[in-house]
Amino acid sequence: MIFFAALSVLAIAIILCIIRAVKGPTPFDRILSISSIGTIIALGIAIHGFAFQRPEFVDISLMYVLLNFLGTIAILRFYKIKGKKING
Amino acid sequence: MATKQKHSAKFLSFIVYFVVLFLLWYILSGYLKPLLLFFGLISVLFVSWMSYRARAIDSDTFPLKLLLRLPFYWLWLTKEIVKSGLSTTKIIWSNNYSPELIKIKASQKNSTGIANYANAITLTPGTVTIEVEKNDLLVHALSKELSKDLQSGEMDRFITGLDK
Amino acid sequence: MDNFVNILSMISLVLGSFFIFSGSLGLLKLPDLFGRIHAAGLIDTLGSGFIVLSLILYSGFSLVSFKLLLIPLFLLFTSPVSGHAIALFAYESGLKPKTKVNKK
Repeated sequence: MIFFAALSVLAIAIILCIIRAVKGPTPFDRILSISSIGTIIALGIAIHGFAFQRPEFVDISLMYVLLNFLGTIAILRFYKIKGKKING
Repeated sequence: MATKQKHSAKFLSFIVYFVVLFLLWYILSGYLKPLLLFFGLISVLFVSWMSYRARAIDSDTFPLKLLLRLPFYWLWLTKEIVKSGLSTTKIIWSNNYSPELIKIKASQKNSTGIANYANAITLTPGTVTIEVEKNDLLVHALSKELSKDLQSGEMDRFITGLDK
Repeated sequence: MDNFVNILSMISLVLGSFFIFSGSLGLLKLPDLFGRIHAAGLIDTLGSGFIVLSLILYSGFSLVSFKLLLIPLFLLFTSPVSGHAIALFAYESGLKPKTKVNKK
């Protein structure tokens, strides 16, 4: 039962991150909040697996962490190549 | 003589790399049948040979002296993270935001030590390394207290002591 | 004894959710980018650490607990890299934090 309470807290945290991602004045704010959402979702998948008695979900969570990091670095590299000056 | 020593250090690094990869394979798969273990061994050997060919492994990949001190380092790092995480949480909830930008000197000799130090600074919430130029680090700290903690040089001394 | 471990796991889960919530609150509340990076670091370190600790205590000692331990280990390697990369790229593209530089 307490797992579902934790999952709902995580959902509220994701909503706060989405507000920042929509509002964010610079692209870096958006990238940062997207990567935070990725971390929270990975932890949420792990909790979800234990809440439904299926610990195999941990593998998916591990994969999610690694892909999240790669995605962040790839988007950052794209902005670096573009070489745009951003004033925010 | 020196090249021979370097060569043996490289070989030792290769062995450690192989063992770490095989442990990772076992943890992720969990199989104990001989046939599957054999397949895992083959794939791990292939991957470590590929990294060896790509020159991803040299004597710097696994500094063995550092590897032995890793558990102490992680314990100390956990303590630091909890300490500065609590003060960051306090700042977020209490609404007094007064960041500082400071320059500090790293006293480590080689680049591995400096990377270690910058990583440790960034990992503890409340302080982020922005720029690294040789021995000068540009650090953004969330409050005066955290920047003072950093300037006292306790973290610097610990990580320098790690490499001795 | 079993009950005690369960209660410990519950406390740790609540702490982890609290740190994740306050991290994302900081992400929303703090006024500039460099402050928000600290909040994201709070989620990556303390939040993930406490939640994984709670799940390990709940599941007991097995191969799954090693897998769970790999999550904060990977986060320990990747979180400072992405945080530093975001800070460096923002700083180089002309986004200065709202403070004065004092030398030491």
